[in-house]
Amino acid sequence: MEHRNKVYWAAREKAIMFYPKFRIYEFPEGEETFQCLSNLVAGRVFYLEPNKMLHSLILDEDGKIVDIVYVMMFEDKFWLLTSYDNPKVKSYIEKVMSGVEITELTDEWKIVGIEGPYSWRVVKSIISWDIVGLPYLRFLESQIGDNEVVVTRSGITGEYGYRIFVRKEALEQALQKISEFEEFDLAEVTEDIYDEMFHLLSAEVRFPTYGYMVDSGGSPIAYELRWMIDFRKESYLGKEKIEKMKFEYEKRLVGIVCEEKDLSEDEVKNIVQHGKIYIEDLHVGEVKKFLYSLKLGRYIGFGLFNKEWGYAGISEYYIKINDRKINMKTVSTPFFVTESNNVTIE
Amino acid sequence: MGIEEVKKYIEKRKKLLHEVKELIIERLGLDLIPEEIDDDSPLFGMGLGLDSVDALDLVVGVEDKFGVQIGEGELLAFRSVNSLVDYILNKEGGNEDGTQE
Repeated sequence: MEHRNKVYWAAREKAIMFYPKFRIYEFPEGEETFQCLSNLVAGRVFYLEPNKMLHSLILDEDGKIVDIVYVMMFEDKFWLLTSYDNPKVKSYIEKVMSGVEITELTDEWKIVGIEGPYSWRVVKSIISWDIVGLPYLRFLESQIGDNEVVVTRSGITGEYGYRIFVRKEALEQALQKISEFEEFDLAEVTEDIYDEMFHLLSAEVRFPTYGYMVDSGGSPIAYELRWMIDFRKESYLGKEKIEKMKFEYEKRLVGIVCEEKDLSEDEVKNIVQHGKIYIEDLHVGEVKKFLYSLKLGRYIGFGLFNKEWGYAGISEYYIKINDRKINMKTVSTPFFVTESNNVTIE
Repeated sequence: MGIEEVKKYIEKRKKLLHEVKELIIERLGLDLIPEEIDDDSPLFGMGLGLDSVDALDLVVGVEDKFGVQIGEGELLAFRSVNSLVDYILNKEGGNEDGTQE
């Protein structure tokens, strides 16, 4: 618990280091690749340019979420970063990108994540001053010693975030360089707390992370991920269904804050598994996420509401477990403004 | 509030959400319709990807359309359409700083 809390506060106040889990697929640059990627990914692939990245979705034919991905455009190639342990996504890639040479680089490149309001100080010390001007969802190619690295500005906690991609044989050197950073203690997100930590950190800012915030088969409309979709694009997997879903949908995912602070472990478990949301005697939704925010000092989460009831600013709802009523309210998300909003990269 | 009052509140909020989305589209010349903007997705960075110039334009638009004054340090209200609507509703309700209770 002590280590977990230390890492959490480091993420919110200083910086953490961790090993992000992605699968990396490489495609050669070219018109056909561009077109295939645009069909595979629902977002604005044609807005990409070298050193820019796109955060978007792969949908299935029914317009449901298969995965949340990043597309990175280099001068001469593309990288597609998918979730590491999503069993479905590879078959979609192979199907849609069938005319394009696909190389999986997952085992060749290792990734180090540095995230937090002062993460830029760490990255600046090991890469260069160039990262100071690196905007969100951009990347640069640089070196650590003689080894090439790719540094992206992208994170999942609502704080400043960077991913350093380094060839596996150069990982040790990169870690050595990071360990030389002495300005403050860089807390490491160890494997035993990895899922719990990123589940919480991403939920607090409603960052769409596959497996934590967003489940496979979910609706991008209910999850409020319209911003990851290019509605003007001529074609992509699931487009026909999405066009219909944006007007006709049943559910809405809304942030909830629990009014009660003292809940037993069993009650929390029960809410996570079976929590139903009511107003008076009317059942209006289900609890989808429920966790304790250390920063807010209370339980927060998300409710999947019937469309007509899924709005922020309502204190009359309650969660029912067994015969107990637990008061809650719906709120706008992110649940708070992160410290990075008050910190200037310099 | 009873269930009927909650329904009235939801209708009011829905209308306001729609108006704010229309304002964002019109003011910033976005090629979108209100149904393509999430209530909760961020306006800046990820989400709609607006910048600080857009933010100032939005401040003027919100002040004109909804008759609320937005203070210099209150731009954080613009983190999503939803939080902007919270701000307007709270100002209407007499909460001077527009923050959620």
